[in-house]
Order: sequence, then C-alpha cells, then structure tokens
Amino acid sequence: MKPVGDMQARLARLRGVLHAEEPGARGIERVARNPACTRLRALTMVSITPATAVKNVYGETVFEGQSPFALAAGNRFEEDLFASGAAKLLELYVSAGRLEAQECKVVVVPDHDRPLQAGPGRKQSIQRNMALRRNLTRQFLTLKLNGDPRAPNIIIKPRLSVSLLGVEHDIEPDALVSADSERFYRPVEVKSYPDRAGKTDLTDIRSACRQAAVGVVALRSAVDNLGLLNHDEIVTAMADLVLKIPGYSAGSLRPMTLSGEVDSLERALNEAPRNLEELEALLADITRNATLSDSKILDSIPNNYLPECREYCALALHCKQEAVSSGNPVLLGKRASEELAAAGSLGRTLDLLRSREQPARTEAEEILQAELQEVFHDYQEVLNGR
Amino acid sequence: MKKDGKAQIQRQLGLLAKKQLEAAEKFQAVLKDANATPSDIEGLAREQGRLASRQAQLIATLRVVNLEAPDQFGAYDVASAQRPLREQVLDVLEVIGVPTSPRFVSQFAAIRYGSSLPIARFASLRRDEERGYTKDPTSRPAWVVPAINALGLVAMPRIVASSAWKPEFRLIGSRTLRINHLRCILAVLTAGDELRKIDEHRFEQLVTFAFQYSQSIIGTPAPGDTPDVERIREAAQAELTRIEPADIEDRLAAAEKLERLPGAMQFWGRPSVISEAVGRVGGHLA
Amino acid sequence: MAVELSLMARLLAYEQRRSQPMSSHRLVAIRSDAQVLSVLAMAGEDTTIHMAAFGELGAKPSLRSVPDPRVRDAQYQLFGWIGERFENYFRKCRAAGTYPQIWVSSSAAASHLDTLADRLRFNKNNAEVRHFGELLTYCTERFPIAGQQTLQTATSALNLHWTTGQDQSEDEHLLTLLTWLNPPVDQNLLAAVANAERVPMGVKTDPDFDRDVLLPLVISYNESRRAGASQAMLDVKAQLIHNALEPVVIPIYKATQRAIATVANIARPPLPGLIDLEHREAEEFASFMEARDRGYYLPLRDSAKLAAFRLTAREDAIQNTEAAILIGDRMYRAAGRHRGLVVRGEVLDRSRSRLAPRRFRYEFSLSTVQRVLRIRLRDELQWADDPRLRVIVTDINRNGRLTFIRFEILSGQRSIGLPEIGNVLEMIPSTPDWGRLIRERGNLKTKLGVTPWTHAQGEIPALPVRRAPDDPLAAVEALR
Repeated sequence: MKPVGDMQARLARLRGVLHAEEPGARGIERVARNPACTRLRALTMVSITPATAVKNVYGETVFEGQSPFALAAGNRFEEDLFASGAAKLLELYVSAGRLEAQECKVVVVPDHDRPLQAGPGRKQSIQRNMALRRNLTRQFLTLKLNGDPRAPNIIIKPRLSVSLLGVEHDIEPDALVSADSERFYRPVEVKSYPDRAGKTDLTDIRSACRQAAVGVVALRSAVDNLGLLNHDEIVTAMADLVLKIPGYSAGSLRPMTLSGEVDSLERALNEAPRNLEELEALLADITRNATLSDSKILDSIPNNYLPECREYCALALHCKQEAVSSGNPVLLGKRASEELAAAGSLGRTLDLLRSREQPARTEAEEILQAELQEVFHDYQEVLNGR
Repeated sequence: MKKDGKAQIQRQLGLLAKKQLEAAEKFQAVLKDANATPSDIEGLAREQGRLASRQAQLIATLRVVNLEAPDQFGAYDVASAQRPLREQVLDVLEVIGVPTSPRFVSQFAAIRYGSSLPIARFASLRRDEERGYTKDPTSRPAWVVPAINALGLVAMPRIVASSAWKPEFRLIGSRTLRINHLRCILAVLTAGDELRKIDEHRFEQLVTFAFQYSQSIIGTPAPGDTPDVERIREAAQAELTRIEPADIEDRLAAAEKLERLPGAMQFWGRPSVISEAVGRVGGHLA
Repeated sequence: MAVELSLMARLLAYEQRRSQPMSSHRLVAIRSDAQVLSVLAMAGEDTTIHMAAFGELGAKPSLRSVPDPRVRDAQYQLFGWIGERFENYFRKCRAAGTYPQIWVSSSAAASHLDTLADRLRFNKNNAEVRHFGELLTYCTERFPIAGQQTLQTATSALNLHWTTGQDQSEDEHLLTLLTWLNPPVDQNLLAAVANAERVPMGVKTDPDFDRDVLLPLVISYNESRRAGASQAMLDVKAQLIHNALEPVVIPIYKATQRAIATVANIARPPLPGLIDLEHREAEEFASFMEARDRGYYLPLRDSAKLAAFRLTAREDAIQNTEAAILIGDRMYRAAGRHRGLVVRGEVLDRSRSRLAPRRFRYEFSLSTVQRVLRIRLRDELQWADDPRLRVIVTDINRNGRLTFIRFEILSGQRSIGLPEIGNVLEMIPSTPDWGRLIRERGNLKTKLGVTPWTHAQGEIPALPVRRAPDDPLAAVEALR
C-alpha cells in the first residue's frame, strides 16, 4: 500500500484548487446508484461533492439542499432517539424483542470528543476528535469480536472507513446494534421519513437502504482490518431502519435485508476506474496536469445522465444540458434510450422517421425506421379521427 | 427579538440593495440591447419586482422588531439570580446526583428553578473549569468536570459531573448511561414531591417533564395516558434494581484504577491515545 | 414492435416542442361544483398545513394560514376551517345524490392529504379535526382506485390527455406540463421548462425561500409568542408569514385551475364509460356517508378480511377502467394494438358447422400483420364495435409477417352473426362489467365466512390424506 501522505498529495493534485470534502455514506451510495457515471465516480474518489463541482467548477447555481425546517425536524428526531443514553432507541429494540431489558449497554461515541480549539488549531482538533472516534469504534468492535461481556449493545455514531477506489473514506452510520447473544453488530439507519407502512415512499426506503448498505460494507471492511477474513458470515447483509411515525416524535423499527444493495454497492465500487492510478491515467489521457477543478477537463470525463439523477446528484441539471445538446434519447426516458439505441440520438431518430438526410445506414436503423413510420402512421390515423 | 435580529435584517437589507442596483443596471443594459427578447426584459423586470417585494418584507419585519419589548431571556427567581453559571450547574448536578448531559441540566434548571442555563455556554464552561483547575486545583471546593469512561478512563466531555463526587459516581460503565437516565427521572420526581404543595404549576411541569423522559421505560404510562408519578417511580426503580448492581461492580473496579492516576487525570481523564494499531481480535485493550 | 404509440407521441412532442394529444376522448369527469384545494406544509413536518387555498372552479380562493403549524391549537383551527368547507360541500353532494370532487395539483399533494387523513381521523383532542380527517379519508381512500373521480390531481388529468417531450418522471410537475401545453412564443421551450421546474407546485416551499424568508419570520413570531408579546404584535407577525406564503400557494392554485380549465375545454367528446364511472362514484360516496351515520370505525390498517374485499374492489376497478378506455378511446385502443392487447385483422374465412339438431358451431379466421400479439389459445375476446360478439381463440398460426387466428363464436351468433369476409375487425380483451364487483363481494363473503388458516391464529391444520393416483402422468394429461 502507498503511504497515506503520498496518496493525499496525489488526491490534492487531482482536486486542483478545490478542498476535500468527505462524501459520507450518502456520497458513496450516490456512486452505486449510477455506476456507469465516470464523472461522478472521479469526483467522489477525490472527495469533491457534485454540489461543489456545480458551484465552483462550472460556476452554476446549485438547486439542491434541504429546508432548514426539514433539517431541524430531522435533527430533532435523531437527537430525541439518542438522548439520555439512547433511551428511546433502546426502548424500540426492547419492545421489539431484539434486546433484553438488561442489554442496555450503550455508548455514544461523540460524547468522547474533546472540546474544539479556537483559531488556527480548530481544524487539527477536529481531526483529532475524528481519529479518537475511529479509535474508540475499533475498540468496541474488538470487544465484541472477542466476546467480551462489556461490549456495548448499541454504539451511537461509530466511525468506520470504506475503501472507495483505493482511497479510504470515513462514514458514520447512525448506530450499530447487537444483542449479547449475537456474534456481531448490524447498522442502524435513522431517517425522519414518515413510516406509513405499505404507503411509505419507496424512494425514501430505497435511499435509506442504500445508505445502510454502505454501513454493512464498512463493517465488513472493519472486520477485515481486524484480521478476520470470513466477514460475510460475521457481518450479514442486514440493517435496521428507524423511521418516524407521522405526527409523533416516536420511531418505528424495520429490519431490512440488504443483499441486493450490498452486492450492487460492492459491484459499483469495483467498476473502473477502480483506483487512483486508473483515475490519474484517465486524466492524463485528456491532458497533462489535468485537474478536476477545470470545467473543460470535467466535461471531458464521460457521464451517464439518467432522469433519476436529479433525485440525488447536483450535477443532474448540467448533465441534462449536455444530453439536450447531443439529443440523447434518454431525455425521453430510459426505455426510449433502449428502443432508439439503433439511431443513437433523437436527431437521427427524427431523420429516420421523416426519411430526411441519409437513408438508414445499418440493418438495425432500417428496422427502427420501419417501426417508427408504422407507428407514426397509426398515430396520425387516430388524430385524424379514423 | 434580540438586537442581533435587527442587525441581521439591516445587513440583509444592505445586501439586497446591492442586488437591486445590479438588477437595475442589467435592466438598463438589456433595454439598450437591440437583440434582447421580450422574455429577457420580462425576466429582469420580474427579478426587480421580486427584490422589491423582499425589501418590503424586510422593512416590515424591521418595523416589528423596533416595536418589540426589551430583551428578555426568561424569568429568574431569587435562588438563581445573579449567581455564576458554574455554581448554578453544580447546584443542579447535586440535586440530580448523577453525571448527565448539559441539555438535561438546562431543562431541569429551567423547570425546577426558573433559571436559564444556556446549553451553548457549557463548552466554554468546561474549558474555563479545566484551565482554572490546572492553575490552582484548590481554589474551588468543586469543579464541573467531564464524566470518565470506565473502559479506557478517558473523558466524556459531553456529559458533566461534579468533582466532589466519588470516582465511581463520575465513571460511565457499560450500563451507566441507562442507569443515569433512570436516576435523572427519579431526581425529577423527587424534586416534584418537594414542590407539590408549594408550587402547583411547577410541580405539574416537572411531572410532565418526567413523563416525557420516562417513555422509554417499560411499565410507565403510555403517551396520551394520565401521567402517574408512582407508576413511573416504581417502573424506574424496578429497572434500576435489575441492572445497577453489576454496573456498580464494574465502576468500582474502574474507580480503583482511576484513583491510581495522577491528580488531574482523576478528574479530566487520561489523554486519548490514538493508535492505528489498537484493536486486534484476540488481543487486549490498553 | 418495440416502439410504442406513447413513445411516438413523446418523440413528436420533443420535435415540435409542444405536448401531443394522447387520447381521442375526455377521460375524466369535471364536476361543475368541484373544489380546488392547494396546501403548503412545513418541510419536515408531515402532518401540517401551513397555508391552504380553497375555492370553487374558476373562482378566487379563500386563504387561511397559521404562523407556525407546529403550534397545535392554531393548526387545529386551520384544520377546522377546511373541515367546515368539506362538511358543507359533502352535505350538498349527498343531498343531490352525487359525489364530491376535490382537485389538487399533483400526486405529492394527494399523498400529503392521505398522511393527514390517516393522522387526523384518530385525533382524540378535537372532534372537528377528527371529523375533517374522516371526510378527507373518503377522498384519499378513493384516490388509489382506478377510474375514481373524487380526488383528482391536475398532473394526472393532463397526462391522461397529452404527452410531453420529456421523461415521464418529469411529468409530475404541474407548471412544467402547462408550459409544454402552451409553449412561450419568445423563448426556448426547454429553457422555459427548466424555469418552470423551479416554481414549487407540490406541498413544500422552496428550501432557499424557507431559509431566507420563512425561517426568520417564523422564528421572530415564536420569540414574540414566548416572550408574551401583545396579540396585536403577534397578529402583525402572523400577517407577515401569511404575506410570504401567499405568493407561493397562489401560483399552485392558479395552475391547478388552469389545468382543470384546459381539460374541461378540450375539444374531444367525453368517454362513453364516464357515465358509469360517475355512477359508481356516487354509489361509493353514498355508502361511505351511510357508514358514517352508523358510526362505523375507519381503521388505519385493514384486517385480512377487509383487505381481501378492498383488493378485489381495486382489481375490479382496474379491469373496468382499462376496458372502458380501451373500448371508448381510439388512441388508447391503438396503443393497446401496439402492445398486442388488441387484435386488428381482416376476416379471411367463416364457417357454420352443424353439431346437432339446432346446434351449430360458428367460426371465422382473421389475418393480422401486428408484430406484437399477446393472445393465447382459449383467450376470450370481444368485438370492439359491438361487444355482444364474444369469441374464443382456437388456433394461432404465424407465417412470416402474417398471423392467422381462428375464433369460435361464444355469443352474438344471432344478434350479430358471422362477420363478412374482407371486413376488418378489432377484437378487445374485455368490456366493463359493472355488476361483477357485487358478485365478487358475495363470493368473498361466503368464502371468508371462516377465516382461512393462513390468517387465523393457531396451528396449521392437518391436510386430509389423499391416495396418490396410480398413474400421475395420466392424471396430469387429463387436466389438459
């Protein structure tokens, strides 16, 4: 493995004038949603968020962000669950029969943070606290793996690492939970999304599950680092979602199986560019000393715009503009992009439909043209009242 | 509304004025531009309208701010008036009897004594206390100190305790957070008992406070039910009886180790050693 | 065929930078007494209404807001205010033997009302609020039923009739749809659509607006309230919040009204099946109100038995609505043809064979050039032009681009008879059956008289021992 300092220097060089920001579980999950988007992958790898890229690289307005009311409500819900030694979270688990009343060993990792220094030493004291959190988390995980009875049943805000493309990124799952009789922990994802049972918003559930899956991957990596190789058995692909009961401050507990999410995340993390070397080579192909803070360079890295990108990526609008410029069929939906693949662009599709410009160049284009003209004829027939 | 609010609105008005100026310049420019479309002109005119409406809104708010009563941070009663924050915190901690979060200290103080202990000031209080102790440990009879983690004897600065307590009462073992939560509820109920005949209003507030905190205890009244002080007390006590003995043993063992540490570390914890090598399965903790 | 009619419409809308028609008929009923409701919720607070705009079709709205919807008493007053309007409207509809119709902007608004209904109808503190919750429940429980006419969203009404040149997931924004329908003459359409997208059209205000405008006002109000400020000052501050929210809710209300007017003025005849759908709606409403009078409880979660009934009702509604649209709307029928659900072909031959005295078999064949066909042997189809002609598929034979399908007539032999050779027929899978639900309910009542062991408490019952057949293969063959 390369020395950490060297790697940091290389990442800083790729970032150009931009500062590093931790992507967190949300950022890593974002990459897994669109594994074919090399642009997003490259940015995440060097710790630049899409919002920063939009604002500072392209100089465009970021239409992303949460209402302060929503943020406050979310924070209040989380604080309430974790207050007084996570009393409410504990009660959820005891009521659900997942923990016995005596299994009330709770540790709140950020409670150990040292006071922050003011002035220039502030950044350093933050880094020190983060290292302290990592250290404590590792201690608690070790206790559990050693079967020590002092191992906590609930760890609030542990700090774990995920290796994204060869670069370590820290994440803080909301909590980890394990009964005394269980071999190891499972992640807990707390979201203030309203739990409406069968009517709960599927997008909300999917996004929460994907973030929880990042926690599973991070736990597996932690187990690996602690010298145990059969991590799949120790850390099962499961997590608990704690959602908000609408109109109350109480939460609900929903155990979720995440095999699909974990697999897709692991697959996504293995897509090219898989490591820093590959990313450097990709940029070097564009130009020497290329950095991601240069808008031209960033535009040269292929993206993969999908209509759902707007749900999670601040770059969506910029990428959509590119799709508009090139007449990408995905503008009409993913299905259109598959069905019109033979033509490649909306412009060419319309040429085929109207028999303009060059005739069909391939057999696939010829079939598409026949289909288009037939459907068009039927459509016109209905419009004309026949 | 605080003075800050007024200053903030004035600052916002200043920023707005700049934007209005820029918008007006752009509007002038586009009017002179022969290629400008009606939509361009309309867009800029709309922007000016938006800024003007925002300005009117801010001015209206400013007017309201000026109408407001003088600053008021909450009622002070005789017991808490004019006493330094550290002393008030120590007093409240004595009543609660166990290490707890600044939020709980602040809420309890507000309901029980009507005093305001802003949570935001606890961070600087912690720093001042540590600095004061380092300078002269004997200058005060007691200090506001952090709780100590029984596992590694490191400080937990987000949980406050009193240095006057025995070490085992400042230590946080594996179940102590839960035990302290239950003890806090019992302390609130006891404080309520004292107030029952003196101040009916505060007594009710304390019961409601204890009721809200007790929702996580099995056997207490459910939300929406009438708060029943005795049921809450019994449920908390019953759980304590089940989980406290083993935890006290752990803490006593840790207290012995703590007492062997140099003076300052007994109150402020061992320095956190950050070692990347810590934590190998099969190994032992430091 | 891969390319479907809806995709063609989308492609043409993209080319012409304007929405394209997607129906030949008007597919939703618009009641003249319908009410339009636009609400704004506070972000992160799922059971609140910060401001409501309520009004009749084409009328200006009545507005009501609360300074902070997290303050319960004021929020209840607002719920009470809307509840009173619902109550009056529902009473009028009941007296007239019709049904209520509430229009909202989008499915986000409908979903918000659903969350509110689930919460408010169990309110223990305020009877008015609880009653409002119950009335709202009627609308939100009708919402997922196909073909319902009670809770209408402007976006789905527009999407039923027109197609835009963008991805379907972008069609839930009302102002975007209206921009596609009436493109600006002096601006690039896609730029106008991008601008339109930034205008809130659901139930949440813009996060930037929340941060820069609403939050300071709400904080200021709450500080004054906590500090015991005079009522006059609180009123001034509440008015500021009202003034800030009004420019957000009014465009949503206006856009909803515009969408309704667009659909109402559509130059297409109403779908023939709409009368039946409205009739069903009035029946459901009468039944709901009667249940209210009798004090029946509205559960949050259905019991297994109730769920079975409701699932059946939903399935029935889907089948009937799809059938009604397929038979009544030429565009949807053409789309069905491209999806292979509808068969159009030319009659090749016909025959009448005698089976017994006064018993005949009527058969005919169709040839079709459709690339996609989703029919199988023994499927039953009906003639779209006169559904009394009901046939069963007895043979399917594909030869190059042509497919030959043989039918036997099941009913309509006398009233319609065998089709003429050379005629072009369009065969559809089914027609609406408005009596089916009552029959199904009767069957379910009998079957669920005893709760099946799958949903009952207790042990799994022992299966009766049955002797295995001597020749299992022959037994399977016998089933064919």
